[in-house]
Amino acid sequence: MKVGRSSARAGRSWTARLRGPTQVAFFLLFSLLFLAMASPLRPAVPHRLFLDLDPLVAFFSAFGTRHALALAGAMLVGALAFGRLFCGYVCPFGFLLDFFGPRKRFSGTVGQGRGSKGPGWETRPAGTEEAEAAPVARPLPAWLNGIPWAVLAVLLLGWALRNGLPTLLDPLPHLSRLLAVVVFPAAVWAANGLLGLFRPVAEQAGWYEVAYLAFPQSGAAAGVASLVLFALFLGLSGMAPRFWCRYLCPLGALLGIPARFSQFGRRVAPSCIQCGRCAVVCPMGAIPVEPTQTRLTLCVHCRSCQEVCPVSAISFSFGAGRVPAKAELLRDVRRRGVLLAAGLGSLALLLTRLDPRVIKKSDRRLRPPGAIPESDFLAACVRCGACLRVCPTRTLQASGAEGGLIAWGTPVHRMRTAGCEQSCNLCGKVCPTGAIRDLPLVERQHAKIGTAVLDRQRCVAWAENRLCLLCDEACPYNAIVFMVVEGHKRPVVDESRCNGCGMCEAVCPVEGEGAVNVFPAGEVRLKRGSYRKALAERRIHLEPRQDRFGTDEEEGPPDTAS
Amino acid sequence: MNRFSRRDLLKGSLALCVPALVPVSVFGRQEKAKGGRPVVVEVNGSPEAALEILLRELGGIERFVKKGSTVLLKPNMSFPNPPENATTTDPKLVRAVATKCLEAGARRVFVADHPMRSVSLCLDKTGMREACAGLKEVHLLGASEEGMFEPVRLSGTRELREVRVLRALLQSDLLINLPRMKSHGATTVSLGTKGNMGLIWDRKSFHGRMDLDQAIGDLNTFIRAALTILDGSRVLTAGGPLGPGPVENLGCLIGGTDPVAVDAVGVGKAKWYGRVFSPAEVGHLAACYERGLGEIDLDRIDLVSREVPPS
Repeated sequence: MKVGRSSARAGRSWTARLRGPTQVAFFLLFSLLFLAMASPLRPAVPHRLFLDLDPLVAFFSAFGTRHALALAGAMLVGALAFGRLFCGYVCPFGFLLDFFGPRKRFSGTVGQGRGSKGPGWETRPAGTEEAEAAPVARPLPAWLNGIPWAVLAVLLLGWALRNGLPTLLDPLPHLSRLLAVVVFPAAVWAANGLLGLFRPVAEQAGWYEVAYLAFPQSGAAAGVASLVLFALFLGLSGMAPRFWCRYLCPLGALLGIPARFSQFGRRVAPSCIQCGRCAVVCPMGAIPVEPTQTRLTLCVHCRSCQEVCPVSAISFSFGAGRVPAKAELLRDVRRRGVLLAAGLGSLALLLTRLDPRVIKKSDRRLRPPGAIPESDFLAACVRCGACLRVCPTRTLQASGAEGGLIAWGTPVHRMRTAGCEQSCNLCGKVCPTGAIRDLPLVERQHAKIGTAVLDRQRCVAWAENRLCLLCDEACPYNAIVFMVVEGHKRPVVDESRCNGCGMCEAVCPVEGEGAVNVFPAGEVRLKRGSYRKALAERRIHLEPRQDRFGTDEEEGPPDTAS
Repeated sequence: MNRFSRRDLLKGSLALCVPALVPVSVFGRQEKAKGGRPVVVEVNGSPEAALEILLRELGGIERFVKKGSTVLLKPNMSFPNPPENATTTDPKLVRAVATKCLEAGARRVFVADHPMRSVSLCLDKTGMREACAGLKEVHLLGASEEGMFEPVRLSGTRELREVRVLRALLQSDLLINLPRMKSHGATTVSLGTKGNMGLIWDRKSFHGRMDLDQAIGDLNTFIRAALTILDGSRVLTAGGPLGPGPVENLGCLIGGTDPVAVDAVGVGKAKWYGRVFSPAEVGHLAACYERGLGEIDLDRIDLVSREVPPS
């Protein structure tokens, strides 16, 4: 028997009916704030709202320089009162799981259910007629119940080891990163393609501003892995709706702790006939064998139970019927499973830290100006991709496999793509944890990223006597000047003036890897204090300097003539 | 990425561009004053007032801008620097020239360049966006994609055989070059003839594969400004083209119809890198001269010097 959906909806409480639109609204808000982040609207909108709400981000901001604890604290207090309401109504990732994931949907009305006919069941996508018989809950293995505790343990250990990798599991930075390295680059590519196709038409119509509009292409470094991770999290819903939220989400696990004591929640009236339908439909597995009780650590207030209850015994109100603490903690949890999961997770964290690339700093990892010292940076960066999103030249890209797993998703410069714009300090302005410091422009211009090194054997001015000097042209600090050697103008790098901005590397006409490249050597990374002072102490002067015309080598810059 | 589709599109839209190729002859035209001596006018004073006098001396803007024509103004807006740095053209001058063109009956004015850096930043920080705001039929264009350029084959050139030229230039009747007077590491100075590199797509090959000076000469056989006005209000005398470097307040505009002669006069106006250069010492100007594109001998140029009267 099939009953129309509209009649099913008629039986839902207004709160349940509002849940979908609320989720959509928050998802749109999340996306719009992400878009607005790089627009002139940025100062006017709370573009970091969702990340500021995230207690995990606040937790790892301990290593950064921005500590926005108020909203995150409010989240925990809110969970103390209303449980995991956030997960069911606000979380944009939860919305995607609900939207794309397979759902168990009840298609009968409560009124009909009370009559002689049993309520109709529909399982999507495999809706079968025999499911109309008595609902049978297929319980997931009990050892899974302990996984949230293992996730929290790994998170704690990550914190202790100064390894921000566990934040990869945090749904809010995850989704933000997905937008930054997958959705946004793809959208820019598509937009530029369309603008290109439209160009002759725009010119004919006199819309020249449109004809000459193009957006700088963001790279999708780490995009495929991000997408795979997302698909994996989504795919887990095949085992149970909201499998992710139930077992693996560290934010959910964390909110579950105060939620355990929440006052507002699911309450079951004595009229309950113990039919167990609620336990079957609950996407979170929050209803134990005794259906009058609720695992408040899990309940996301989706009200699926309320919808299927044939006797309308379920309400959401103050005075929730919670599962006794001891039972919830111990009866359902296999300690061995928890220990194994936590142990394996921790070992993995340790191994990423022991990566030779991390220990020896052997890779060319160029961090954005104002990035705090690397050990703190790797802990404070939640890989949300905000800096990648706002970077106007797109020199900032997510680190892929090359920097080791510990650095995956963190921002690195791709100077060959573009140099770092010296009049821009946006990456520090949007960083939610202050892993990149919010610096005034003058300070930021003294935040040395690295040092350019010129390979004379590849440089066309040195090796082929070409009149090139593009690097000299592009250098905003005149750290590259020319000198006349053997009758030819040739560029030289003055390391004591180099900011490491990479403009030289970006413009070098040598094919493939340029002849002038920025290396992290000489980078200045400060957690506090002035970069200008630090540079003065290192005798680095980022001030104007002049090229000199001369006919012999002595007239070139004296400190680089060697 | 989307290069293939765009290239296909370009091929498909070649038909559209055939009429656009007609103005080639316009750009190639060479004007000279009576007796074959090019006239260059130099006016000291604030950009707007100096422009007034300069245009009057050259016969009025109407001499260049015909009613209903499309004009391309080519200022330097290559870097996200304010005009005080003397690395980009003064937006006040650009606005004044654009207004003049509209007053003369221009149907459309492009203000276009191919910036070296982020286009939106360059348009904002140079002050160009603000300067062009509110002017109807003035289109501020910062090119950033290959599809905004059109390949053109050149004949009789030494280094440059084919060049991708800004589509807006090919769609214009007239080019007015408004470069900032500044030094340039590779080419000593960057004035009008060098500034034409802002109207093409692939500049790296000029440096990496060709003889830069000769390539600029070749380029100028195709792109020729009907009017060049050097912005000498402030001059970056070393450290160019991006700076930072010493800025000299020259406070003048230098203009004329012979782009090479205008540049030649400009070269003599300042000490570059602490040294006086003769125009013939500047490689790309010599290359332009060799190609018969204009005069570089200051003795064979009629220099008219004017002063904005104190108000």
